[in-house]
Amino acid sequence: MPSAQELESGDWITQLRPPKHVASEANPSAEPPRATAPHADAVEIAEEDLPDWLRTPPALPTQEPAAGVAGEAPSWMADLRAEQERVQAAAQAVSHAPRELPDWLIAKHPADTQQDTGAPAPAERAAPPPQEPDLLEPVSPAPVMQPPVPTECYAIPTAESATPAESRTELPNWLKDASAPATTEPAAPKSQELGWLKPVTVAPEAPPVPTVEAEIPDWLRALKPEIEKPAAPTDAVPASEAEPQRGEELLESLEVAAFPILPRDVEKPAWLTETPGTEISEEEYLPDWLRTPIAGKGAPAEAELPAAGTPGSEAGEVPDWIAALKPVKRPDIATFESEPLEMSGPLAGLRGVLPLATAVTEPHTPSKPPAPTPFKETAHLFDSILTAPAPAPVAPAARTQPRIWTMRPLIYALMLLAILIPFAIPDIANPSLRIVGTPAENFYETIQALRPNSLVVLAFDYDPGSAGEMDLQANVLVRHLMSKRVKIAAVSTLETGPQIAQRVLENATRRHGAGQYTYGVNYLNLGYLPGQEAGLAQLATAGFAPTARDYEKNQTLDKYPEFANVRNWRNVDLLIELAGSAEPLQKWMEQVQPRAGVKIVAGVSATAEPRARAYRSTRQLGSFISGVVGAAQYEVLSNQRGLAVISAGAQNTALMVLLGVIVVGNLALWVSRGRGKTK
Amino acid sequence: MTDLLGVWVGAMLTLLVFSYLLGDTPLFRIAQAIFVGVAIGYAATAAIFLVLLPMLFDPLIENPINNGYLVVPLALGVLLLTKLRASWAPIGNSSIAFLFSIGSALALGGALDGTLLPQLSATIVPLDSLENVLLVFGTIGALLSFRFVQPQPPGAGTRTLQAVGRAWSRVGRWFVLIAFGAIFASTAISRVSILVSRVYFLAHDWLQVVK
Repeated sequence: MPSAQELESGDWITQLRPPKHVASEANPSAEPPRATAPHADAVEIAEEDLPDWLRTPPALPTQEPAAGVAGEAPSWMADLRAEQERVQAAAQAVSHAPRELPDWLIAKHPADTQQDTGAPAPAERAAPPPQEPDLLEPVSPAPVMQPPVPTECYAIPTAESATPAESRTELPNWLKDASAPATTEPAAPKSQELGWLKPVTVAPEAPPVPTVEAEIPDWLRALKPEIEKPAAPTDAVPASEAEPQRGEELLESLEVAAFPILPRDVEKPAWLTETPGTEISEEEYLPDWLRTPIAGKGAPAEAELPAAGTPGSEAGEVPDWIAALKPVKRPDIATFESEPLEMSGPLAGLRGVLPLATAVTEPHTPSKPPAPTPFKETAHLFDSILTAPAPAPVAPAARTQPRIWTMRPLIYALMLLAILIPFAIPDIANPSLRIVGTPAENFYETIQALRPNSLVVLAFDYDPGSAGEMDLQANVLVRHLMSKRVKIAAVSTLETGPQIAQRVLENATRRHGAGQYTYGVNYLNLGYLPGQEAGLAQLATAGFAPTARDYEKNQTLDKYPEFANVRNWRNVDLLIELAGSAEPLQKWMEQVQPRAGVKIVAGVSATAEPRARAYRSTRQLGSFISGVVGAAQYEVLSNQRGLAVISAGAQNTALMVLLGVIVVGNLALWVSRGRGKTK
Repeated sequence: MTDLLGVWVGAMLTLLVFSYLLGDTPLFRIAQAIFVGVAIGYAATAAIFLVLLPMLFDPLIENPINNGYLVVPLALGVLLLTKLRASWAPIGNSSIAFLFSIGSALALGGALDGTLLPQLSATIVPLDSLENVLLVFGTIGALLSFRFVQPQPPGAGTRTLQAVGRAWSRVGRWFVLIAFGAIFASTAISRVSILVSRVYFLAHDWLQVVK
């Protein structure tokens, strides 16, 4: 009875050889020659016909390949191998095979065995007829005889060592489900039939396995047809037809589940890709039982593919059932590259998973039919219009309003005369100014109430554009202030204000206060006060800074001791605001008056008079004079009749002319409309 | 001589501006361009010689220790220069924000203290004279004329109140129109005064035909 060591070393195979080879020199300590197999006697096997692995069975490396295999195969495979060895040893211990043939040979050829021995072995009789595992029936439709391979190459449990249920525990779940119907009837252990398992355990260090058909002995080749008969895919088994369909469905499910855009290498196990000599082709990925349905899809037919485990198959190739895990390359994967790639969300990284995105990106078909012929005709017409040369420019029609041209110079002439006549003949246009009860009277009284050497801040907040109106007020005011011998500190919130202030003060000093008013002593031009509201607020809060410089000599304020008290508003007796518009007056009233509490009077232009009246009504503004009329009133009050009074007369005359033009013009329009209606 | 040259230059520019009475002539455009250029040049010169030099650089140069605080406005002013380039403009936003925030705060506070509240208090007067009655009536009517609300559903008391409000707002609108007319008339009078001044300048200073 062969021991486990013999099984591993392949001694049992030596029994297949003639007796002369059994007692070879390579194995002198081998057991005595046993009875040769009957079929061995019938077939004349020459030495050169035997493969190498049969010639020198003792020389086969037994332990090292096993170690090598164990070292490269997963641990679970090593465990299964040990289990198989134990079971095989036990099986051979109870076997009564007359010529120590492997069980699978005995099972495959019961007739031969009976022919030689006259009765089958008890174990063979008791055992169920040899057959493939049910789950493999559809998988290996054309099993061929496998050459005896050392058992250490089988690293996974065989049917002999494990029940179908146990085998299923080692299989993937999906494979369990696929083979579930076949497990109903227990299959006899037949490890030799598991040809699809063979490539998994082949290691580089494994003993050479005869894979060439020519190396198969004739006596083994003669057994092949007999073995193939029961294992061939039979139509009698209903499951053989159902399984391909199930496999097809399973394949489709795998194809759908697998990401088509992922590379296939991702799906390969690391141990599988690292195994040397495992170059896997596209067609070899699928197991045999899965190739059958694929053949209908255009894949190579089953008959054309080399059967797994056949001598033609190479060692180290990936099992088909493992290769089946590899996602199948979809033929239309190239189309996904042109589809949008999801950049965010749970679908990030996937391409073409949203059909809507593809539909959106596709060019839309025009919803309207192509333009009919009339549109094209109109398009040509439009094009001809655009391309036609531009017509010669037509001179604009001559104005048909000669009366306007004749009336305008007349109005201009009337205005000119109305202005010049009062200047030429002042007595004719002497205005009858109302003085009593006017704001100018209050203004005059306020100035008149100032004591000599009183400090007056005079703000020149008008520009040259309004100087024609405001200069009249400034001149008469400065003359009056100089007559009162008050100190004048000029300031301005406009850039052009200091220049105007300097001109007005110098003119007044030269004409009316010559020798009496001196710059820096009696009057001082503090220049431009920047900052608008902020500057005014700071001025009202802190007064003039000692570092402030004057406009004329650019010296600090502390260089003028006569104006040292201007730093504090308490020392300021009056603030006179000369505003050419309402805005400067409003700033002074809003920023300075509430904070400084100084008394303010204003000389404003006629434009700013409504605003000045509003502040006067609230008593925020003491009084004011407005425009040329206010200047004339002040000249009359101060007994300084002069240019302001004449200018007021000229202004009145001009306004009368304007009034007459407006009235005449409206009458003419009314008459012309009346004539038009009568016609 | 200087005064004579100034009078002639002023007279020529005045005539160029008067040429606008004949239409938009190139002469008027020349005078307009000169005015704009001179105004900007004068403003820039005034900013340099009236503000920057006497109020910023001279104090920093003369006494930088005591006037060290002037570095802050100097830095803010420098940041304003970044507005000249679009890519650097955001750097100057801090200066702009400073100016706008200070200016807005002062303007708002000044408007409340200097204009709104005093004007409101000025309308609270005894109705013992026609002037005061017109003041109160016209002020309320002017405010009602700016009432833009949807009329409420007619009720027992609201119908009369709404009718009074509508009538009052119409009268107030006339007050507003009269005020606008007064402002326009004042502006026209002001412009006529300027015209009188220019004509007097031409007739007296340049032509010397009037005394």
